[in-house]
Amino acid sequence: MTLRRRPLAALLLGAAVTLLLPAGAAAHGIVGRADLPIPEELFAVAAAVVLVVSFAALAGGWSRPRLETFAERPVGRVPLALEVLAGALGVIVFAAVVYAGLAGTDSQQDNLAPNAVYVVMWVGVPFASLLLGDVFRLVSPWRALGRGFGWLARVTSSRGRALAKPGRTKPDLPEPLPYPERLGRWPAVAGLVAFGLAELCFAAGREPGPLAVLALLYLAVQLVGMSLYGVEPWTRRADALGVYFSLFARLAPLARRADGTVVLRAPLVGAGRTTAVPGTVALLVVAIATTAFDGAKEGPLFSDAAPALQDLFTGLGASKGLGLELAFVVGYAVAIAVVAGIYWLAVEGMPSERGRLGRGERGLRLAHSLIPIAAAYVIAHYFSLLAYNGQDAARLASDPLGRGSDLFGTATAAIDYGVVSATGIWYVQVAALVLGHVAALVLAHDRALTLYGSARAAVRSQVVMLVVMVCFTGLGLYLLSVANA
Amino acid sequence: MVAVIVLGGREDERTERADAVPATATQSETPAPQAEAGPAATATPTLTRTPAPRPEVVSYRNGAAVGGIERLEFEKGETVRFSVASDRAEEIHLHGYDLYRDVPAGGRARFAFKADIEGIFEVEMHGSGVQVAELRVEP
Repeated sequence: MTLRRRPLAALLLGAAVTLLLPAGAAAHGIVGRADLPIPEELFAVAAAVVLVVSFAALAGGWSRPRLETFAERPVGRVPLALEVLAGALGVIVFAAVVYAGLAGTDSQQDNLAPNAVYVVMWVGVPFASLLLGDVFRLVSPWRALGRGFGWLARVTSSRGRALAKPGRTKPDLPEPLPYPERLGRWPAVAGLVAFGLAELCFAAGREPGPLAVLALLYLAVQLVGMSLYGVEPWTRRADALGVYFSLFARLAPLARRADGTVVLRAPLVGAGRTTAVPGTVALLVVAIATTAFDGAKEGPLFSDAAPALQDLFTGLGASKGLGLELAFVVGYAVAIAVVAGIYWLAVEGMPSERGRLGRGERGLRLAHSLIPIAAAYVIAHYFSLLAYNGQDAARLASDPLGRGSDLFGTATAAIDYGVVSATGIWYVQVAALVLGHVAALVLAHDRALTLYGSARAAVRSQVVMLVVMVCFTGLGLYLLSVANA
Repeated sequence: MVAVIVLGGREDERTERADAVPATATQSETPAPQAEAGPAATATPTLTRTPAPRPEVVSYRNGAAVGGIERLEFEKGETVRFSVASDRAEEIHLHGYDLYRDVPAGGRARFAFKADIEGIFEVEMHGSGVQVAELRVEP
């Protein structure tokens, strides 16, 4: 019987998923397709490359910080008209997606909402941000609405004042509250966990109607937050999606300064400018863990444990469906704890420079080196989803409600699976993990040189970070090799 | 063609399915990857290989696939053949390949096509949304 445990466990989970959550709540419910696990040979080659690269980095690292002094070249500005247009487009698309979710079909595959949220936005925006910088700031519906309302309020109040009291045109709006510094990025962390729960744990989070309601709820929270603390402070610190997407933009060769100038810079260097405010470590930990758990739940790590967890919860009075959802919640929490634990151990193991550098300080100042790991996980896990189901956005845009309309003439467009082969996907996945590993080492090494006066302490901290990166990259490769195996 | 049936579920179903596999069933010359995946896979009779020309039958009864979600394994370029037997009238949807077949109550729907898209795809009863099998096409 013990020999049969694994296939039986997989079957039980599979059966449970299909029996209890009939609306396609399997791991790939929205898409009906999954990646083949990477072959053992590719796993071995990638692991070997990672180790060789790591030792090379240890032996031949530079001895003075370099990334933080890289020059950036101004290339222009984003015209106001484009900003207004992009913002308006964001608002229109948001409204269309919510309307489709509420009024359209319940089928996840034929309604625009799940694809728009979980493919185009959740996966498409990080890929675009890696290349083009912070595109989400331009199209963010809540930011656009917040700025629009702000502008409207200023115009009307200053006009009103000007009429009542000639000569006075200064806006007379109450200043927003100062954003509490100690909150840092924690509100974004909370929002990201909420998104992860909706995406990965609760079946309703992927159904068009409930998803639209969640989107409206998210919008409401952002509007309240922006009106209390101001559009900029809130979107930079507390808007979970905006903050999450801006992580990827930090690796991009394009960026926009506070004064609006668009600059060209070396990729990666933007990561070093991540401000070390509270919650930054947690944000990266959750970002990595969310993608890692999405991978893990297709593999034996989770599917072996899920039936027992489900039994535990049904024993406590939950229905079978809820039991499975709670099992997913436990799995997600464990994933966050594991990723956090790896980083915590690393920070513990680093030299403190005779107490000059506290644990929190060390952790915060090196947190940005996790950004390439987070990006690598996203590329490895979601590349095929974007390549295939990204195409499906064309069909769904023409028939957003799934009721047979053909707005743009693309309602019958089928997904072309020829754009990339399974082998091509494997190479992209493995290359992303290896490149992310190298980028993380580069960032950590450079920061260690700034952080530690002595080169010896820097090297010791780097050995620790190297172990962390090997853990994360190894975990990523492992997840790719066992998912759906 | 290499097809692997994952058996499980209740004991009577397991025997019933085992009976359906001819006694001459042997390991094929090119084992599929997950047959080597671990001791569990090689040492148990839960994975059974069938000789090439015989098409697989996936059974759908009382709202679920009999014996759990079957794995139908092929390599790219091979001809995929399987059928789905159902105790109620349904439409069957093979994702990715986007093939639809109607099955009458108590009848069978047959699939036969060339495996030209790699990946793992759901075979789903479209009305109820229940997955009954998984098509795997390896490069």
